[in-house]
Amino acid sequence: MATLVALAAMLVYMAISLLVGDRFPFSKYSMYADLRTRDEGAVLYVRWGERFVDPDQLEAVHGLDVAALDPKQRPCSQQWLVYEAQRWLADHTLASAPDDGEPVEVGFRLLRIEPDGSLHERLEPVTRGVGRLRR
Amino acid sequence: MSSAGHALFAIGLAISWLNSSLHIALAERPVYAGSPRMFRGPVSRGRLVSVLAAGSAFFALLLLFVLRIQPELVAAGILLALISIRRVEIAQWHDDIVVRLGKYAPAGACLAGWLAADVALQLWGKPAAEARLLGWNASCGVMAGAYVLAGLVKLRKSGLGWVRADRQALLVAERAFAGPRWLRSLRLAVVRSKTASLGAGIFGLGVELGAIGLVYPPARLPVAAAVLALHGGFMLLLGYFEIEWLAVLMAIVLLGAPA
Repeated sequence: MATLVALAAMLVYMAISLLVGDRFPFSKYSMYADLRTRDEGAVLYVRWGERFVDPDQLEAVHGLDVAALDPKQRPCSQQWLVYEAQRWLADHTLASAPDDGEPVEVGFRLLRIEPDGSLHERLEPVTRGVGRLRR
Repeated sequence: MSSAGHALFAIGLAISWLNSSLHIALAERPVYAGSPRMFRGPVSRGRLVSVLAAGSAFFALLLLFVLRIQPELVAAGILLALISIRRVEIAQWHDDIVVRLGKYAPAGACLAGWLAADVALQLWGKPAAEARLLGWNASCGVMAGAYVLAGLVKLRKSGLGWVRADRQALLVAERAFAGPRWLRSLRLAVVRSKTASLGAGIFGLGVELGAIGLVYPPARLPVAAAVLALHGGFMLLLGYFEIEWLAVLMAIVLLGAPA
C-alpha cells in the first residue's frame, strides 16, 4: 500500500506540474535543462580601479548604464546575481560623481570550454562610470 | 523516528519561510549572492515588523505541526502561509523573475502531497492514524516526482548530451570566480578534467532519474544517500546550499518508514 500511495503521488504530482508549470507547489524543475546551445557562459564582473569587487562593495556610483546589464541578452546561468547587482547599482546611483571616486567598469566575463578542455576567458565591458567603495 | 521526522520536516518548512522572509526584509540587497554584507546597514522598519509578525504566526503553526495538533488544519494553514509569503516575494521583483528563475519549494510540495493523500485516504475510509502515516509515503512520491521530472526535462531539452563534459565544465566554470581560494581551485580542477566533468554530469542525471526509488520504502535509504551526495556536489561545484531539500528528504524518509 505504501508503495502504491507513493507511486500514485509521484505520477499525479508530475502530471499536474507538467500541466500547470511553475505554480506553487508545482514546478517543471527545468533549471539548467537546456544546455544544447550553451557554448559560452557569461559571468558578471565589477572592476573598481584595478580590482575586481562585488557589486555591493560599492557605496555610490555614477554614470553606469545599469539597464544595459540585462542578463537575458546573454548566456548567463546566474541571472539572480545580475538582477540583484542591477538593483543595488541603480539604488546607489548618484546624480554626480562621488568624492574620492575611482573608475568603475561593469561587464561580463565570457567563458568558453575549448575542444582540448581548456577554459578560455575574455572580458566584455558593458558600461563604465565612477564609484566609491563602502567603508 | 516520527518525532524526529516531524521536527526535521518543520525545519524544512522553517527554512522555506525564512528564505522568502529574508528576500522580503532585505529586498534591495544582494541576498542571493550570500555575502554577510547584506546584513549591514538599516532595514525598513515597516517591512521588518511585518515579516517578524507574520513569522511569529508561522512559527506558532510549526509548533502545532510538531505537536501534531489538528494536523490537517495546521498543514492547510502552513500551505496558505507559504503561498502568501511567496506572493509577496514575487511582488518584490519585476516581471516573473522569482518564478522563472526556479525558486523551488520542496517543503511546500511534500506537505501538499501529504495533506492531499491523507484527506483522500480518510475519505476512502482509512482510519485517521493510518491515513496520516501513509500520507508521508505520498510526500516521498512527490519528492521522487520532483527529481525524476528534473531529469526527464533535461533529457527532453538536451538529450543524453546534457551530461557532456564541456557542458558540465562550463556550468562549473561560471561559478569558479566566487568563494574561498580552495573552492575556486577545486572548481577549476573539475573544469579542466574531462573525466570529472563527465562524471559529474552522469552522476547528476543518474541520481535524478534514480530518485524514482523513493517510492519503494526498502530503497529509500540508499536513494536518499545518493541524493544527499548529489546535493553535496551542488554545494561544492555550483555553490547551491539547498538545505531545505536535505531537511525535507531526511524527514520524509523517517516519516514514511514502516511503523
